[in-house]
Parts: sequence; structure tokens; C-alpha cells
Amino acid sequence: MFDIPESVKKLFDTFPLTTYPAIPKTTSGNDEFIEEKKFYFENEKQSQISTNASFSLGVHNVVEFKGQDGKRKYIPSDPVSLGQALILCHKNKLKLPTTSSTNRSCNSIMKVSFHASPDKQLPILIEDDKQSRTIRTISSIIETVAKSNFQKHPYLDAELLVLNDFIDLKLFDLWILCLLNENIDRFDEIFDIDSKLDLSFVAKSLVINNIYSEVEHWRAFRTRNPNLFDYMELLLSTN
Amino acid sequence: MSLDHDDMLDRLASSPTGGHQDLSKSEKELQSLMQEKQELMMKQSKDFMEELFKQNSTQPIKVKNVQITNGHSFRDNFLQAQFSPLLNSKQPVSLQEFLKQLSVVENLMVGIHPVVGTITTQSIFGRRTVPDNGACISVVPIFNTLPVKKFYAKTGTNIGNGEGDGYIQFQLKNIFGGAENISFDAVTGTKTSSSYLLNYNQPVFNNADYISENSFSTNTRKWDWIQSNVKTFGFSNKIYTQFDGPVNHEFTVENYWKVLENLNSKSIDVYTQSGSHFKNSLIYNVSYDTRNNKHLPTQGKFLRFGVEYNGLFKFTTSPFIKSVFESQFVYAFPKNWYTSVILTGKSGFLFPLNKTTSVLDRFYIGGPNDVRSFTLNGLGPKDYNSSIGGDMFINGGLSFISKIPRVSSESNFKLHNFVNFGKLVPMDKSAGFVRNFKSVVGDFSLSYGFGILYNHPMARFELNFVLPLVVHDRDYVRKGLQYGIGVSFL
Repeated sequence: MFDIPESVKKLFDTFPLTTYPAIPKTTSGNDEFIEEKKFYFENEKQSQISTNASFSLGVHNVVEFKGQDGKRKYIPSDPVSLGQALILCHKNKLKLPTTSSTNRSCNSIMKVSFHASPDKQLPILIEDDKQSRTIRTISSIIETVAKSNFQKHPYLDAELLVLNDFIDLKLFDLWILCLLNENIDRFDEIFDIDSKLDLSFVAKSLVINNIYSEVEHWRAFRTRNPNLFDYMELLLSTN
Repeated sequence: MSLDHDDMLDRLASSPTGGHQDLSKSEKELQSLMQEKQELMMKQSKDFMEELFKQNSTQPIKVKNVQITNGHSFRDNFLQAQFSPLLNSKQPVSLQEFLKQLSVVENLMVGIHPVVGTITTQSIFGRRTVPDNGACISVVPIFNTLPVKKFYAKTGTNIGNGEGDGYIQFQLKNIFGGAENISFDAVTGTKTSSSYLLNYNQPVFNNADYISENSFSTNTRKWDWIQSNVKTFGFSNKIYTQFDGPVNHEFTVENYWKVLENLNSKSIDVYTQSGSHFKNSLIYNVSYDTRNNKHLPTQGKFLRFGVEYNGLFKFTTSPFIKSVFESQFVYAFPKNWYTSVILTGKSGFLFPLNKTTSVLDRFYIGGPNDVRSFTLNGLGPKDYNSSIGGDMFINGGLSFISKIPRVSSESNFKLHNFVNFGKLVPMDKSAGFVRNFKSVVGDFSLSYGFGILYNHPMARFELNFVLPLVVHDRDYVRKGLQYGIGVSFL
């Protein structure tokens, strides 16, 4: 193989002659903008040890909800993200975020657009440690939950496995069907559509159509149910 | 830049060398003599006209009327407006003044896009001159215009700014006889997965100095530096001037819906800002340009100041005020040095009217056409390998352009030595003006390089050997060879 002559390598290694520290990547205003989108989980216990690692669950939006203890809590606005938020709470000994935080953890629920996800589906799980950041898509989260909870004893946990699949697939499909067919009153709230867009019919229509154009592809819903769409297209063409 | 397939074929077909191959020696000699005769006649004619103009520079001239060939392509009121500089003067004018007016009209005619190859002739002192009141001469200028092609379609390829693409273009020209054009472009390429542009332009109130341009576009582009796609859909309305003088203005209203789609970025700025953005802005640009060539000037100055206000409607996603200043000064050394110096400087400032700015609106610097020896948009703030852009920047360069030894000074190939610098930072609204100003001034990233460049009429090509001298940690540097193609360089 061709080797770079030592003298050339030396010359190239000499440059740059001076290196300044990195340019700061954020500002206080930007941090504030990001923090507004975050809702921190509560630690179950006051003395819970905080680690360097943290995670954020990226969801469409959050809605306020009054818990059994009378506290107002934030929950994800869609059932799929709510399911994942509850699993995360259970596994990490956390409580749902509240309006009046008393024992805030470093983990959070974060409002993001579905366009933030590489596969345009939410929720996503953003895992941070000191060195790196990993973004897990919903498929990856579901796979990890199934692997770590059911694969060790598949026969013993058969009933739970069926139940898990039922939630992940059947209830998910039902949710997509609802989105596509029902006239959902709180659609804007579910997908965090800016209320300022009410001022422009065109702008709002663009955003809503953009959501609908993606919804049918979530978890390959359209591919798994082609007859449903053929039938709907037939209905539209005959009308 | 554009490399049109059909244009290239035309050029090859009309290549003079191709025609010479089958000629005998005596035929070649005859052809050469005829060419010499033609050149001699042209020179004599030119000398005669120059002498005539010199002797009669103060001769009073009166324009009785103006004639135009192929005038049926244009509306009467449109032509009247174009010829008004010649026809409106009721008093006789000097020949010098007449020629000036003639050149204004000629420039107007050429400036109107659909008038292909306007040829202006004037029959002064010829058959059509009529003596009027003794000393005053009446003249009838005749404008020979080529017939306008109404419909035009072409395909081609574009190369430049680190990307390549293919396009198909349809044009309908001079639709209503007043230089109104519609064009439709469809492009697909390495960075632009799809782009469709519908453009309508026309002179404002028949005045070819003012052009109104309205375009509707939809496209999807890869923003590799933030590992994302950006879909854009919307329209812009622009009025710009094309005065013969150095100062020109441009006024634009833009309304766009942009969707930022994260593909692989791990930057928190990218995934919190992903989704729909509505941009509704007013933009004003003023420029002063005396350069003799836009791609590779050898003398002249260029100054541009632009300001943009985004926030015309309440639903605008990230309102801001943005300003950009650009300057270029070119000095030529004494003629026998065959060297010129180009000094370029740019700066920009983006002020958010909300808490922060959008990654779609921020400035990005660095690259083979910008601060060389850094990768495309490789300077400024980084977050998990994404260049997330900044709100303030200053960059510039000093270039020495000289002829290649033992190569004609007329050659389009030149030697190039340069120093580039630049800095891009975020703006902290809470920090105050002085601290923000200090953060962008000083501690610049700096690079040096040399190479060869080729100045094609459509664009400039550069192949340089570059080395970064001073960098910031996390700047994306490029050592060794770097090539650049484009129309605008530092």
C-alpha cells in the first residue's frame, strides 16, 4: 500500500499552529427555550441517587391530569407515549412529572415534533451520558422492552408476552384508526399545534395535512393493512 | 453555473476546426484572405464612424421617429416606453447626448430578458437624414432586433458549491408583448432531492429598469451539516432594479413553510426545532457594484447591505431581524505585473425576537467558496457533530491573483494565493452588546492556501492546496487539496 512520506505527515501534523477553545454552542435564551419543552419526572424517594446518565422521552405533547393523590401531573397526550412513559417510571423508580415539582429527577418528558425522529414516529428515547447521546426510535424501544422482559423465560411469560403484543400492535392500530377516521376534538392538543396557527387557515391546513400524511405510515400501518386503504380510496373515488 | 447539453452540441457543431479538415491548401488560403478582407472592412468602417462622430460631436441632432424590426413581437405602449428617452426630447440635442440616449435605450432593450441579441444600428448622416433648419439634422435610429423565441425548453447539469444536479427548464417568453416571462424548472441532484420552481417576471409599468419577479417553489434539500432534510414550500415576490449605474436595489416579500426533518442528528437544537416553521419576511438589499467581472474581477468595488424582518404575521414561527454586509475591493498592480489583489469582507447579525433563533435561519460559514481550508459550514458552534450555525459572523479574505509564468496574460487560468479568516458565534441576548461584539471580534480561525483557478464565463473553478493556521476546537478542517466551483468566492 501507498504510505504517506514521514516528512509530509510531519508537515500536515504541524497545522493548525494554534487551537482556540470551542465556540459555545448555546445561549441562555436557547437553554430556556429547550427547558420550556421539558417536564421532569419525580424521584420516588427523596434520597434517590442521581447519576450522570439521564434520558428524555420525546413525545408530541403533554396534558395536565389530576392524580389519585390530588396532585396535578403531566402525561403524554397520546396513548403510545403514555405507555412508554409509565414503563420508564416503573423501571427507573420514577413518578410522573407534576406541576409543582418537589423531588425532580434529571430525567424528563420532552415535547418534540415527530419530525425529530429518524423514522418520523414518536415517542423517541434520548439517552445521555457524559460522553455520548443515543436516540432510540419507538421500534427500538419496543424491541428492547420485549427482549429484556420476555425473552429469558418466553414460555413462563407467554400470557404477558401476548398482552404486550396486544398493546403494542392491536391497541396501536386502534389508535391510528381513531386518528384517521374519528373527528378528534383535541387534535391540536394531542399534536401540540400552535394556537397562533388558528389565524391562518392555509398554514394550519398545511400542518394538519402533514401530520395525516405520516400517521398512516407509523409502524407500517398502511403496509400491514392495505385493504383498508384500498377500500377508503374506492369510497372516495365513487363519491 | 450551467453546462447545457444543447449549447455544447451547438458549439461543437460550429467549431471552426471541424470545417477546415476537408479543405485543400488553396481553399484554406482563400478563406483566410476573405477573413482578412472582412476584418479590414470592419476596421475601416469603425475608423470612419469614429472620425465622423469626432468631427460632429457638437452637431445638433433631432430624432423624428424610431424604427424597429420585428416590432410586432411587442406591445405599442411597451415600445413607446422603451424609446421615450429618444423621443421625449423636443429640443435638438448634441450628437454626444444623442449617442448617450441611444445607449440607454439599447441597454434597456438588452436588459429585457426575452430580447435575444438586440442589435442597434443608427443611420446617422445616411440616406434617412433630412436637413432641418440648416444646422440641425433629423435622424431616424433603426433597431434591429432578432425575433423572440416564444417557447424555450432545455435540459442541463449544474455543478457548484459542493453539489451537482440535473435540470429541465421550460420558458414562455414575452407572453403579452411586454417582456413578460414564465419559466418552470425541475431539478434533482445530490443535495436537492427534488425542486420545482415556477417563476413569472415582467418589467414594472413597462420600465425595464424595474423588474417584478414572482416565484412559487417547492423543494427538498439535504442539510448535511445538521444531518437533516429541509422541505420548503411557498412563494416570494420581488422587485429589483437593473440600472445601468452601480447602485441597485432589491425588495422581497417571502412566505415559506419549511419542515425540518431530522435524519441522524443528535443535536438538541435540531430535534427540538424539528417540524413546521413559517417564515414571512420582508427583505431589502442595496448594492454598489463597479467590478469589471463578478466571478474574478481585476478592478472595482462591491458593497452590499441587506436587512430582513421576519414576522409579518403573528403565526411566524421564529421572528427575527437579520442584517448582512458584504464588501469587495479589487486593486490591480501596474500592468506589467499581471497581478491583482482582492480584499473581501462579510459580516452578519441575526437578532431573535423570541428566545432563540432557528437553525434554519442562522448563518453558516466555511467551505471551499467561503473560508477555505474548512469543510462546508465547518466553522462555528457544534453539537454532537452537527454544525448548528450562529447568529453573528465576520469573515473575509485577501487573495493575490497573478498570471501563470510562460502562459499568456489573456489566459483564463491564473495563480491564486490567499489568506482567509472567519468566526461564527451564537448571540446571547442577556449578555449585552459589548460582550456579544467582543465574542465575534478577534480569535478568528485562519487559513492559508495557494492554487490554480480557471475563470469560465459562467463560473469560477479553483483547485487549491490549503492549510489551517488557526482553528477553534471542533472546527471541521481540511488539509491538502480542496476544490471549489461557484460564482461567489471570498
